[in-house]
Amino acid sequence: MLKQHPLLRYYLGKIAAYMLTIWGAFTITFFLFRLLPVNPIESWVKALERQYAKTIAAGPEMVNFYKEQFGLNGTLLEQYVRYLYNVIIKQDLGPSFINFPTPVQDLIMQRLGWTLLLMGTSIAISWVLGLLLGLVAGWFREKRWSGVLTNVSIALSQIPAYLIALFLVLFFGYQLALFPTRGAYDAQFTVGLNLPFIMSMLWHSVLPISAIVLVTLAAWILSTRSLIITLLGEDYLHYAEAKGLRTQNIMRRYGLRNAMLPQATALALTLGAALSGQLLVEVLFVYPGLGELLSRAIQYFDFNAIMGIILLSIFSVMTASLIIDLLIPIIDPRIRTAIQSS
Amino acid sequence: MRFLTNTWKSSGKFRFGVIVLAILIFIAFIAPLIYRPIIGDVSPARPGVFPRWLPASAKNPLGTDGHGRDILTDFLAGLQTTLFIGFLAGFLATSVGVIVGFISGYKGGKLDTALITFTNILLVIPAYPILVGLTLVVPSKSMLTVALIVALFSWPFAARTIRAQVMSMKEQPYVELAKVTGQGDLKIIFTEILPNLLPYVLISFAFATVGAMVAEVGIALIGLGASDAISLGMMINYASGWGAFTRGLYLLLLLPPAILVLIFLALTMINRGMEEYLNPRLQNVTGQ
Repeated sequence: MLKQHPLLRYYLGKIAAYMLTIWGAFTITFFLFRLLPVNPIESWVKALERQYAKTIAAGPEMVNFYKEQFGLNGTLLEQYVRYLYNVIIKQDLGPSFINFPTPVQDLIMQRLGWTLLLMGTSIAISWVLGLLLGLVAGWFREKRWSGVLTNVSIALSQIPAYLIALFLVLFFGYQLALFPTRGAYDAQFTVGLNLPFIMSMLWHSVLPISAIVLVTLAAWILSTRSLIITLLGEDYLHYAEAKGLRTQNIMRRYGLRNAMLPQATALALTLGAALSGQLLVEVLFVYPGLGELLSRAIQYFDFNAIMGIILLSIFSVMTASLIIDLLIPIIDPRIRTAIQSS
Repeated sequence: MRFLTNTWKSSGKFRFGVIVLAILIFIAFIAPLIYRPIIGDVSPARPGVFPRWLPASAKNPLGTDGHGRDILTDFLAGLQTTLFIGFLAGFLATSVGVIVGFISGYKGGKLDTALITFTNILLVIPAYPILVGLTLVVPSKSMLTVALIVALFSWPFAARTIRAQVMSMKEQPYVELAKVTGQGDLKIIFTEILPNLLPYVLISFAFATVGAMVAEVGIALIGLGASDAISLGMMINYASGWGAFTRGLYLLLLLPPAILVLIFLALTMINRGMEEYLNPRLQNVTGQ
């Protein structure tokens, strides 16, 4: 039956690959961390002893109790099955070490908004700017400024955002003292929908967002530019010119529109990867997002928190790419025909 | 080889990148000649060789840092370590990537499906947290271990690039011709495919090297670099630990990232030069 329905076979194949990849990536990460020669419970219990000045002696019962709490009792396979059961059936990612006993899913929800704010804004700004700049850079490729823009973009495209962030912090944060360099807002404001808080929040996000935008913008400019340059030899463009359409019109209706589909696809993939994207930028700015949480979780080998965040990141990357895979044949008839005739 | 000389002739970006990188590598090579007379016969990473925070003098041209090390030596040894780890990890990652990508693309079928699925799975896993986890637990963090750890997650990119190229080359008429005339697999691989693949291997190598250096800096930034060496990333970590932001230690704070940016820039230009030579459409040529 599948042989007669190539489109259905394509869909089922994509969904199968989606589930297989999520499972594979999760399983590898799960065992990799649990096989590390570390004993997080021991350090946890020692920390407790220090905290309560040894008024309670940490016996084996206590160790076992916490092992059970964190799901670290039993063999690796039992832990693995139990974790999967808890996640899939009970939607429970377990308690975290670093913020005991807050469940990891609550911790993630507290942090997710900040990361989405930071990454969502950066990605939106750089996508729109990148498409427009890439369009003009490609269209007027013979102009001198276009060459300069392209070369600057090439130079910026491979530099990690955290290095840019470092320079920004130094000049705009310390030297000129224009922008704050730590946290997401000033502590004196109450969190909520009030103007001082929102202003403080925006003010704090200027430097991290600029760092991320500078680097990702360069990549968007380059990819849009080469898409446009490929278009420039097409007959319909010459025809539009011959018809006497204004350059602006041709650029918008024939150029930008054609570059839109591949760039929207790339945008979805970028959004999927946003969650774990700029961990070091968050660490540098002590920004209360998922990346900063993850980096602390790793230092304490907080397995539940680590796995929760990584799982969320794997899931969002894969879901974004699945949505694209499923939509593409519907949007683009050329691809649909190619699948059907295969 | 002809590919490299042609790219050199046609691409200013490539020439710029090669010259900058050659200068940096040359400095890294002669570095011991400069820092040995200053620090004597000890490891450049060793703290407390001099008093802390000495001002610049004839003996310590740039002064000493907060660990009692000569700052000029820090820079030279840091450059050495960063280049060494980057190129070694880049080489390891590219080797694995080329082998996996080649087998996958050339053999095809079930083996290809299995390998590409595995490659895709690794690409989805956020690498940085795992790199940090591994670096936290390895007992001796030598430069070699750091390079190995960094390479662990950089090969899938190379594998994907090489696989795609091999798959398209397999369909080329000259390979078909070789098959029809009854040449063996090995002969076809070595005489028809590998020579044409070389530019893509070089591009993968430059990419993997940049990726490895970015990862090494990422690890070093949070204080987890190799314990027997000093790298540019670690210098940034030290500088912020000494309160360089507030104390205005600009040399220590600005020069390490500036050198890193220069290295990334050189490698990117080399890569872009090669890519533009292979695919002129990236430059200004239009058409289908």
